[in-house]
Amino acid sequence: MENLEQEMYVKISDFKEIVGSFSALLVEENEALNKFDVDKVSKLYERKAKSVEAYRSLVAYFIKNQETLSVIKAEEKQAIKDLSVKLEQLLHDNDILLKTRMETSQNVMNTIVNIAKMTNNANATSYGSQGRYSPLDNNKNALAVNRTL
Amino acid sequence: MALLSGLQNSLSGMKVAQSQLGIIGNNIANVDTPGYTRKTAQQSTLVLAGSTSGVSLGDIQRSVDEGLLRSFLGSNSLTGSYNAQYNYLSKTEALIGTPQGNNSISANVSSLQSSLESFATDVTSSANRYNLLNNAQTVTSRLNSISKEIQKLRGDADMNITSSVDEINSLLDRLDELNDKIVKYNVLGYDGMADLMDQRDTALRSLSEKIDITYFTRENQEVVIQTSNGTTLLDKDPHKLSHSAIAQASATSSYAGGAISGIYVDGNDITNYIKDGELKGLIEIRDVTLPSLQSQLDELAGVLKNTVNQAHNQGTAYPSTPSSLEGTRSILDPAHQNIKIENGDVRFTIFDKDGKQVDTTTLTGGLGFSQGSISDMADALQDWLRDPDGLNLTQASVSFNDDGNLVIETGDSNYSISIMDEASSTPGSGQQDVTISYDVNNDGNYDREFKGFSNFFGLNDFFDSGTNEAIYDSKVVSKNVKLGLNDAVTIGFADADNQPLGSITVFPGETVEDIVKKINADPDLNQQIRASMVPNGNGYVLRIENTTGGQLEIYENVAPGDASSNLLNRLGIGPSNAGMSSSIKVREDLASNPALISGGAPEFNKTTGEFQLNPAANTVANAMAKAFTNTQNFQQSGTIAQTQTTLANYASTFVGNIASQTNNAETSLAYQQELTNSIATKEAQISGVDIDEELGQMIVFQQTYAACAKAFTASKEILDMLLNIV
Repeated sequence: MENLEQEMYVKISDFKEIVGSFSALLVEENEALNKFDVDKVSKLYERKAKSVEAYRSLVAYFIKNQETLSVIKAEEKQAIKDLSVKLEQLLHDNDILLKTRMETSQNVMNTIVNIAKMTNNANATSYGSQGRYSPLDNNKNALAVNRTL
Repeated sequence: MALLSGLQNSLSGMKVAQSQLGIIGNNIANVDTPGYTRKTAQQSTLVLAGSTSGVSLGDIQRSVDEGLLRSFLGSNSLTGSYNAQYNYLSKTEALIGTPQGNNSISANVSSLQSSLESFATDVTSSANRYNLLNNAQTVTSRLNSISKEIQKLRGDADMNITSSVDEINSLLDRLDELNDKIVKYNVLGYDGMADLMDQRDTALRSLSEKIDITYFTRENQEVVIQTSNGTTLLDKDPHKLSHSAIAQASATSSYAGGAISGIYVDGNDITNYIKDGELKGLIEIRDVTLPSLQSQLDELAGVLKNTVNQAHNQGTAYPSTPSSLEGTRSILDPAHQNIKIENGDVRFTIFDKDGKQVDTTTLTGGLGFSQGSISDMADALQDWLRDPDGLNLTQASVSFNDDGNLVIETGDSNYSISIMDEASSTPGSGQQDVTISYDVNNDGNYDREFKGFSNFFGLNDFFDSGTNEAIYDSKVVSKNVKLGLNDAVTIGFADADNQPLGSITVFPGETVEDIVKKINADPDLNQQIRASMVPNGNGYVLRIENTTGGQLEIYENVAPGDASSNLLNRLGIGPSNAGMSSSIKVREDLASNPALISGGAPEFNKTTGEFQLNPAANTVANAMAKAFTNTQNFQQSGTIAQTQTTLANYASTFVGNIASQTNNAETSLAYQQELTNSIATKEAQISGVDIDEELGQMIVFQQTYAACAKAFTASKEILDMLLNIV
């Protein structure tokens, strides 16, 4: 039991360090997202992925050892809670920023696709109702048949 | 010819390539220039006389910018709508309190429950009695003040609609002015047109925050602006909006009912067609969100009043037993309105100053009245009180006052009267509410059912609300719900003198909305009766109102021998609770003299075979406390579905519901604001884009978002766990 408690304090120390650096990374990424600096966001990705994995493994450890966590010093528990609340807020901001950036990019792509569709439609040629190439008839998709033949 | 054509194609291709190189060079040279927007060029197939003739360079296209501007306008409108809603919801939350707060209405209801439980443990304690009265008054005054504030906020929202309409009209004037200048500059080729177009874009952005708009640009560069449903706001000239703010909103004033003015353009009411923008947010707050909260508050007040009154009406105060009782129900025409007593009998007992029985009788077993007109019942009771061979209370009377309330007086302050329902006519057979069936219009068909004789007439109410049943509401229904009738049904309406005002016939296959149309189109009815579908949560309430403010009775006209269709019951049409929370109060004489609060009921002494009043009797106090511990049925109100729960839990749900709505509105607003910012930033950064590059960006966002989502899940798990152990 004592060993477990000691191990718990080591993990708490790791948690503080990881959440600290993860929070700093999120602040940096959120700033980059605010500026639409996609290169910066891209560069931060590897660090973010590693931080997330380390953070998740520590969370899994705490959840698995809830009983031991519940008997440690109150100020340590409070410190974990405070850090988690702070991280939660940063993740929330990150979530909103990323979702809105994705929606905006999707918007832009939809706009481009729609413009391309309209442009292609206007410029492409096809057989029209008069039996010859006519961009005016693009939407009609007509087939002319010579009935005298 | 073929050779010339080939050369021509090659030449056009080279020109395009050269132009594109120029644009790319310019982009590279300006890569570090602040505010510079990267330009791209579009090439398209050139077609001459039906034949492909190479490629042509399009204008440096603004299409993507245009697309983004349109996205921005849409997003900005939604932001305006959420912003308005969040502003008002946060004000409402501050007013009502948080679920954890000690000052919320739920905390007040819990305190009332505690004081009732204390009162039940010792009904002789004056301190308990005063404490009960104080807590009951705290609840009623809190309900009154919240209701008042909700209506004030509705009035404020309506005022804001007027201000918003004025701002929209100013923007339309500005856009009209800019349109004229742009057309002129375009025709005359003046410099500065781009600046004017920027100014026009800015005005369009401001307009989109107020109302959802779409626009298109004519060849002469003027813009035509419409709402998203197609109402023209600017086309050569501005089409201005108009709205008159309501002087004072109340729980029963609604836009649907006509008490609140619509928003008009060219004489057409566009209120229901506004989809987004600040105006939509304010309309939603005024007509849906706040009325929903009001209806929940009214439901709480209504159930509180009914359950507590039902218990209190079983009791008799002692030693301050009254010698006269005055009801609260208005009986329009006692001679032609009938009641039927079932499931027990009503016992009247006269006590002397010492709480000893002087005489007792029952309505059915003793006076022989089991059904008939209300005035016949009153006469039978008065005859018993005045009987020279019995009580001989010559000054006793059973009558109806000017408001139609039943008044029973012994006419002698030494004698008090007590009313108690029992399981049968046998004395001491056990206290139990009788069932009163009420025939409103003397057609032999009993229209409504109540529990308890005293409760029906309101002879010993604890709470009073001063409502006069001028408004009837249905339960929450869908507008187009079929009524499921097998045969035609006639619904009749009568006024405060029980004079028929008219009727409508409803046929199989018709809907609730058809009832509204029929009432409002009927020349006899629409003089005095107005029907409307009032939004409530995700449905509507059918509201039928006597516009004179007088009492209204609604009944089914059934031909003798025909079965009732129970349409009124099926729709749940009954006197409205609307505004109950604004008027509920502790009955005035109880408030001024808490000794009149009933703690118990007359007790039957088997030895003497008589009833007696005991100051320590607490059956009624227990019944009132039970009204709080037992679950009650709450009808669907606003966003709270029909539910069976306790009064305190419902009050908590109400408070929690506002907190949750405010939180949701805040989250939606934060997201929408960020999306609007995001589009604006993107718009400033690009003026032509490469779809591959955009896709690349999208992939970066997606993979980093996936990491965020994983961390988010873990974060929620650890926080949930920590909340339990810290």
